[in-house]
Amino acid sequence: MDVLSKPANELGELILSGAISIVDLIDKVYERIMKLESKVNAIITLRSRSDLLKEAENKEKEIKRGAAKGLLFGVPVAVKDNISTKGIRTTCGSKILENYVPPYDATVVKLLKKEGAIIICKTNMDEFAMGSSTETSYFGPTRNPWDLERVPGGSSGGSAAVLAAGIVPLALGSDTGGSVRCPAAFTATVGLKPTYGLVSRYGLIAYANSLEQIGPMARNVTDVALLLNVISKYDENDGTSIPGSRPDYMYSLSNPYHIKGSLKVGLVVEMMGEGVSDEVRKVILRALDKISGEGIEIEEVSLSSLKYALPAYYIIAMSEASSNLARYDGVRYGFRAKIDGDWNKVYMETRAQGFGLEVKRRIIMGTFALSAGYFDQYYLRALKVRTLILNDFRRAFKKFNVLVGPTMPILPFKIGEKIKDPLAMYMCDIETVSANLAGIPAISIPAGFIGNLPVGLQIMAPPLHEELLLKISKIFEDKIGLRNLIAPL
Amino acid sequence: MEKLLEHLSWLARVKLCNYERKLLVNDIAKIMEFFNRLGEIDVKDVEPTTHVIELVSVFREDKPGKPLSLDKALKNAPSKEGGFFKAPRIL
Amino acid sequence: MEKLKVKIGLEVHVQLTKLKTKLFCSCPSDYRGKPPNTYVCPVCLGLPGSLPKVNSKAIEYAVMVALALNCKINRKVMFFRKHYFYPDMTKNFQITQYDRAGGAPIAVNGYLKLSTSDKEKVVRIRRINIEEDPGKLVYPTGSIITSPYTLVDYNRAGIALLEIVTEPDIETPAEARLFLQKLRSILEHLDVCDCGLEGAVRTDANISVAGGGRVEIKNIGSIKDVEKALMYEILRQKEALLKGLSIRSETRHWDDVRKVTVPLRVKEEEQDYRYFPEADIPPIIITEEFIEKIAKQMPELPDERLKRFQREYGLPYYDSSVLVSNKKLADFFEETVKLYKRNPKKVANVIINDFLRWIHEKGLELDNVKAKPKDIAELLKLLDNGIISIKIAKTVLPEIIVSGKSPSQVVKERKLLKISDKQIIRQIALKIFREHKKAAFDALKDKKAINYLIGQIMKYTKGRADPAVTGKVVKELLTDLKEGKLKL
Ligand SMILES: [Zn+2]
Repeated sequence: MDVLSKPANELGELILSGAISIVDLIDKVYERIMKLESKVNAIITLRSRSDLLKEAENKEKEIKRGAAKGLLFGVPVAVKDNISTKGIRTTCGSKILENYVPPYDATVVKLLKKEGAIIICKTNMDEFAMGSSTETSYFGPTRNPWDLERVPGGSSGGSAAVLAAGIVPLALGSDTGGSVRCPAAFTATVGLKPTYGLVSRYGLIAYANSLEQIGPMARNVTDVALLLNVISKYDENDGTSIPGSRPDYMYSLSNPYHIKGSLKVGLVVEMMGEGVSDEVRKVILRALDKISGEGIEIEEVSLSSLKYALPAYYIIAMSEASSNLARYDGVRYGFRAKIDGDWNKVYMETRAQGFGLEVKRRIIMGTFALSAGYFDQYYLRALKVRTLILNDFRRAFKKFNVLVGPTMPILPFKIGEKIKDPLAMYMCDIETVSANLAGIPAISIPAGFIGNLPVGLQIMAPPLHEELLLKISKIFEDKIGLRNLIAPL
Repeated sequence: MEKLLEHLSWLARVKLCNYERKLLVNDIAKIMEFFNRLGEIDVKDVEPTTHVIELVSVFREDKPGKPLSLDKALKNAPSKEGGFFKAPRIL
Repeated sequence: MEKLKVKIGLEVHVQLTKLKTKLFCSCPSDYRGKPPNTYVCPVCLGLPGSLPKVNSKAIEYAVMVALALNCKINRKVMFFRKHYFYPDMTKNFQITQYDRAGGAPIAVNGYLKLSTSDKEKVVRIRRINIEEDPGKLVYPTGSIITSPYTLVDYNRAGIALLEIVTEPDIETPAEARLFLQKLRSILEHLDVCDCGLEGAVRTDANISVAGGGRVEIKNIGSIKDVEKALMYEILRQKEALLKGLSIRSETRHWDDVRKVTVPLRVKEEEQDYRYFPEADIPPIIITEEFIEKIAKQMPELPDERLKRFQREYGLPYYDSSVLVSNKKLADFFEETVKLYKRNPKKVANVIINDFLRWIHEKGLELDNVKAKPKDIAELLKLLDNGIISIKIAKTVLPEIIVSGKSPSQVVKERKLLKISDKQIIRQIALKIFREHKKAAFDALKDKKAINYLIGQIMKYTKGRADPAVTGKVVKELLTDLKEGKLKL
């Protein structure tokens, strides 16, 4: 248990120095999965024990040869199941990709391998990342390690759960409208959605491609910075990848208090208003209380366009989804319905059987928003609202270094509580979607608990200010005093 | 509304069963109302944001790379024949 | 029936075959003749998670074509997704261009001038799009109707296309042919498309007769077929109008086996393409400097070349226009002239009157003609030097076109050298005189009989006898016959 609770940034050094055996570590990871997976259901595909041990042995040999190198050498990592892994099936939590094995690695997976990480498993998620609870997965819901009756958030619920359950120290998620931050908040872990274009999307199976980013998840801010160091590289395969080098985020954390002048933090009033539960509000205010003080000023700020962020987000996301998911027709890969008929009939049936209800709902609504006669009223208007939101953030960041608010408006809810009411589920994303619309970096760190239920604090920074965002997160983490938490299971 | 749903289901090539249709007719109405909130905001003279970061003119050189092997290209195909993907009949 | 007003617009899909790779991925573009699905990658196969990246050369080529077609080039170009399901589509949307939500096709509002026999005609270009080609469907039974399933080859998927759309300014099928010929010549002069390759240029034509419904004919493979399809359609619509039927707007398919158009069964609903901006491709900004750079590098275009041919080689307008209507033909002409500088007009005559005629007669394209410019030059030199006669030259030409042998080789192999030795011709003439005694005596007073005798000598020598020498010999023999010096 002890090795499994170690932060990744310590684990890497212990491995390279020979203090921890990789084979031993991987064995423990595997044992813990065997013990907990039946309760949590966080994993869609687990690599075979023999494969994992063989990789661990090879890595150990490299250490003995003195050939070992990499920021994550021998460190176990979990990868969300919408990130393509060569030779390991990648299902997106959907029946339609149940048997799909990508012939190529996503860029982030290549980078993980280059740094010596060991990919343990592909984690459970809402089908095609459409959900905020990991309940829409074809492979069944993931349970929150802090309360097995409750959801872990979504859509990267599996990645958050393997962290909170103490299985691996690092995981990759993806965030289209809060899918990294929401489960981080619900499981007392840390999750970052980077600036749009900072991390390559090549190999990330698209849900809404103008909004999403792959994000690092861990049990503390430093590990998130470490994983961001690994995955944030310019990628020529992604036309939206921002060119140029990235800072060393770990290095910047070595002295987080080295921020010029005093820190101005804006508490967004729209994020503390209607729909936010009293308990969440209380925890957030208490956390901000701990944070404020010498050198840190917290002041309220209003971004009035955020009122419209949620419908704008859903129009854009559903429209893009209806397009991105058109390719699943059962001809080149994936499930095909076993019926006889012309292509139209087979396509309709394949997609009827291959997609779950929420995916169909979003495809239908997205098709509607883009269809003749509605385009201007919905899709185009949403793009204009997106501009207004961007402008509001620009204005706010002129005055404030970062903006804060709750990550989730409510506490982790019971499995089954919201799944029948799509709009109630969509409302869960009210705090998170604006960062995706604006393309800015945002992080969720643990703010406190109500009983055993975690509450997350969300911090947002201007585009490409991950360094600042992580520094501030580290300061807040120090002051709040919640890190490296593993749910008692 | 049911006719609209029928049309959308055809456009998106997703067959819906009776249960789903009943559910979605109801949902569409609610979600449309939710979308309609955007009607309140004045967007006159506002430019749409199609790309959130200010990247332009991103190109690739016209230099050939290696395609997938036939084996890999067809590996995930539910049905194949003689190097081709096998799709349903057209008519 | 009075002449009805016909309006024709064309939508031409041109593959940029001179690119080395596809439009959005680095798969090689020379897919023709390759085994199915061997020129595909995650991007053009539409695998989940793959992303498109624009081939910079495709933008350069598009700008060149836009300049050649006198278009306004848009400074901000965006790609859009156009949605429709079909098994030849790997993503079930096509990445193309559109003019909504701040987007614009690469070029708009151009024109192309055509010269017809009696006037100069301007066909306006509405727009030029850059887009991707879909894959190819193969029907195992050979027929779309009877095949129990469909085979798909995605090698063609993602090949860069230009979609060139005209206004409905064209008034006759012949004008449509002229437009396409000129467009083809321009594309070949720009060296962006090898238009002779199968499927490299595909045309949709829309036509309305006498204000009737707009009928679209899809996917016509060759220029000749465009003309045929339009003629067929005009006839069909006129007949319908005569019967008092009205023409409704519809889409028809060109059946290039039966050479007729047939209606396509298309559901009405299918026409909603739901265009929206492709977020994976940032906007492309085309700067003034970029356009200027391209403009400076533009190769000579057919119109300029035509003028140069008139100026430099002293060719008449007609000859020049025939030659530049096909880049390869014009190149062939100029290369021949380089090797046979003394008389360009003679080169033009041989190429236009004889060479082209034989190519058509043998059912060939310029591409698969074996004869090279040096062969034509050599043929003309053999003629000039009196080694072969004009008649022989005309028999040698078709053979070098088909076989690729040099003219002198053919002449040697077939013993076609001109006979100018007076002694030999005299012996042959004597033989002929003896075999045609009556004609020989008639020839003493009848010119016609002289020609007959010369004809017989030519026939006997298979045209190899030098006409001048032969004439002289016949005259001498007749004098001898008259004077009794010759006995038959
Ligand atoms: Zn490709």
